Amino acid sequence: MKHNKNRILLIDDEPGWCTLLKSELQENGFDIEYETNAKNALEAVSSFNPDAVLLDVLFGDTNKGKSIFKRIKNSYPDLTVIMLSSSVADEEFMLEDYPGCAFAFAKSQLNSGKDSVYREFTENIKRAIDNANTTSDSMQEKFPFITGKTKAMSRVCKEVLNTATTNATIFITGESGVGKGLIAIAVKNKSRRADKQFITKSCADFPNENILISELFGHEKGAFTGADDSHIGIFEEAAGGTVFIDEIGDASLEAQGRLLRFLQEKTLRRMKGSKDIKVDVRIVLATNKDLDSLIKTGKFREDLFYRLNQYRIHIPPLRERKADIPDLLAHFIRKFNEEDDKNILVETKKGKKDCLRADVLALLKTHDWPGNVREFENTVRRAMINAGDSNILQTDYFNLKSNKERRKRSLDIDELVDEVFDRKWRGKDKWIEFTKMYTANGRRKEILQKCVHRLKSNGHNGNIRYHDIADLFGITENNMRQQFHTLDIDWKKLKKL
Amino acid sequence: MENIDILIHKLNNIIGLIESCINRLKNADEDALKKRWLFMKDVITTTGRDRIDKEIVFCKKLENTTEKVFKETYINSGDQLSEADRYYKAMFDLLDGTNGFSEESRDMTLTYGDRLVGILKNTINELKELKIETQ
Repeated sequence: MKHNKNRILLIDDEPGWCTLLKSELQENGFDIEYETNAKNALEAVSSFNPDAVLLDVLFGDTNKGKSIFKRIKNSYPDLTVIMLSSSVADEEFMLEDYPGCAFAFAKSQLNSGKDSVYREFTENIKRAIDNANTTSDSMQEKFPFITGKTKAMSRVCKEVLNTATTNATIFITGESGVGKGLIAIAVKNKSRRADKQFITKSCADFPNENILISELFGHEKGAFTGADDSHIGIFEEAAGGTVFIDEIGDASLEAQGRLLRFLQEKTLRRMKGSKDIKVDVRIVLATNKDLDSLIKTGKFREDLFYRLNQYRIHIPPLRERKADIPDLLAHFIRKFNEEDDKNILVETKKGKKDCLRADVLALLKTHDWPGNVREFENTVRRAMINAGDSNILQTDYFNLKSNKERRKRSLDIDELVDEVFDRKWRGKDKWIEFTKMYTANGRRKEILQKCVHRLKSNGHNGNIRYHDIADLFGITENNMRQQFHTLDIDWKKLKKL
Repeated sequence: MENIDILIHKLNNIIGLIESCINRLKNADEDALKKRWLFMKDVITTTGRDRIDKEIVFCKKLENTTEKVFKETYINSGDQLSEADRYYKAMFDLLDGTNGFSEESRDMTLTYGDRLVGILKNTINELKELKIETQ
């Protein structure tokens, strides 16, 4: 039966709190009933049929909330359950003890009696109910930027909705180009911090450890050479909002240690600062690196990994969800029709997508897409440019090399180095493709060494810098330095040869 | 959960109830005053006149079961709760016995409420200190 108002069942053994919350939530448009006896909790859910349950943690002298929570979730796995505590709602702790709870709320937040606090509380309840009611049909409406109806992507969207209303730190993993940044934005948009600050930083952008730490945590004057003024970091800048830290696998061990302390204590200290500053900010992190192997080589802290791994959203690579390719193709054709003033047909007047030729879709499905959706997007755009005045995409317009062809090509190293110097391997997508084709255990080391030799023979002599070789691929100097370190190439020796 | 945490949780629950109500009353504009007064009356009478008595009983139980070194703190907490109970009962009787809203009743309720909350917060701080010492 559909109800106009959201129905809330409050389960709390304190009758005064039940009266207080009932009255306040009714004023904010909820239909609310309460139950003070823990034994009757399940029966009350069955008879009232609520959209959400507000459940107290402690009943009398015992932590009965936990067992009631389990019983409710066993019988009604999709029901929104919000945990209430008296004074502290450490959500990461709460979510660990109450997996699947929408969020945790400390009743002490209501002590100020301010209307705005009640309003925020009711908005969060509504948002949690709305997120839980999302079906796969309405998923596309809620996530217009996520194209794809495969189970894998529905799972990703559901995970975003389940965790967005909490304050928990979210860890997004997936290969380059899968859209981790978009998922971070989705987490922010579906959270109670939707209208607050959202700041993004990538750890890979900072070649110097001090600069990265300063960017995140801030510094006081004189903290390091060149620190002429004090500076607030992004956590302080985004107070009340959300910070998205990309490429966390590239952060130094010291930065990782500081981050772990911040996640645990919610306080930070600027570089060379003398006081701890409490900051309320929600953190979303991402990486495309295999953190397990970084831990094994001592480049990533295991304790930070376990902390982050509690709420992890993994985005599958495009090659594992090729069923989404027709939708993705249609999406990008529409996008570039508008942006580039093109007129490529996607649908017939009857709405069928039969203007997408079967041979084009077959071609796109045979490709492995090492650069994922980003590579797919660029490929479609190039094909649309190649199409000229035609309004139907044909296979000829796609400059795709088959996987077999790519493997064959990978054998001819000198030809490849020629292409590198012709700037044909420049840019992030190309670099990703390069690292996939020539793995660290494969011929990547040989290619990079040959590139250094070629630079020397082109007249750089002994003045070759990491920057020069990084520039050939259009990546950062720091990234290239790490490549040489990972591949165990003796830079000084190589320059002298 | 440790007994001391349970007691802190229970006292925080009471503070939350009282403080929310008195702050709702303090923040109310003229139109909302009578409504908030009735709201507070409803919440406190539902909570019951013996609400703090229950915690005094719990404190006594802890006094008798705890190690000697902590006994003094629980006895002290019990004394403070008895003082808080006097303000609570005075506030309860005032709300329960008054039919309509008057400024005088409101002012007295707020005075009792503020004192009661102050004592409970102090009790919680002492319990927290004891908790830190024992860790």
